[in-house]
Amino acid sequence: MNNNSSIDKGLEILTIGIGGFLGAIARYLVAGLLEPASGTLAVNVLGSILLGFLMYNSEYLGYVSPRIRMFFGIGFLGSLTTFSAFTMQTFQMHIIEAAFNILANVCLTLAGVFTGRGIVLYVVKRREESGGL
Amino acid sequence: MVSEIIFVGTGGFIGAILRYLVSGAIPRVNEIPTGTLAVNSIGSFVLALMTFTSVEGSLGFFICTGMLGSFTTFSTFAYESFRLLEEGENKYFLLNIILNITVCLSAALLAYRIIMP
Repeated sequence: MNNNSSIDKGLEILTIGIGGFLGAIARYLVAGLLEPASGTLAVNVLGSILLGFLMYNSEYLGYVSPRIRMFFGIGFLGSLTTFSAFTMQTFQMHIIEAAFNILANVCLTLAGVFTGRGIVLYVVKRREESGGL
Repeated sequence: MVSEIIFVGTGGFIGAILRYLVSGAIPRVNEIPTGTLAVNSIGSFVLALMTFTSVEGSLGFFICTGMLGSFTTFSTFAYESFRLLEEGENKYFLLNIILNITVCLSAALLAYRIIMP
């Protein structure tokens, strides 16, 4: 019993780690296509849309198992997006540019979560209209 | 290029696991998701230390881009903030955003003061 739960815990951690491995590489490749600050903004917004979709999907549609949420939500999307690079880039900007960068990241990632949620709610509505399938 | 990707990925593997363990060990204070605030602040502080001591090359890809990039997270921060707004906790929604921005920038400033007196 005790042994099983420590195996489960180990698998959980491995699942998150592999998600993090892939998420960090995806961030490096996607953000590398743009200038540093725009690259960070792009991965942060992209990751927030996908996390909004994932979390509301698991709440309203139930297609997402806890293991998928760990791999994709905590591991992959957690690592695809980043706060440390955002902080350093903002810190090294002039005040006006810094304020704009903060506003852009905060507002667009919130809008991203809202968009992911909106897609899920749209699917829920379509399913209800088509008679519960 | 390939070795850079392996360094970034391996750092990301470790960073994501550390984020899970550290943020999971810290309980919410009132409505504020303190675990995410903690990893973002610690990660920003350490990245600032690395940047101001000019850590570059393979170590930079491994620690800065991979590990610290993955240890901190913007998507969870945005999701948790959005949930506070959705639940009508407007005050904590604003407080969470202000705390993450100001504590992380202050951490970078602290690192700057330590490295560049």
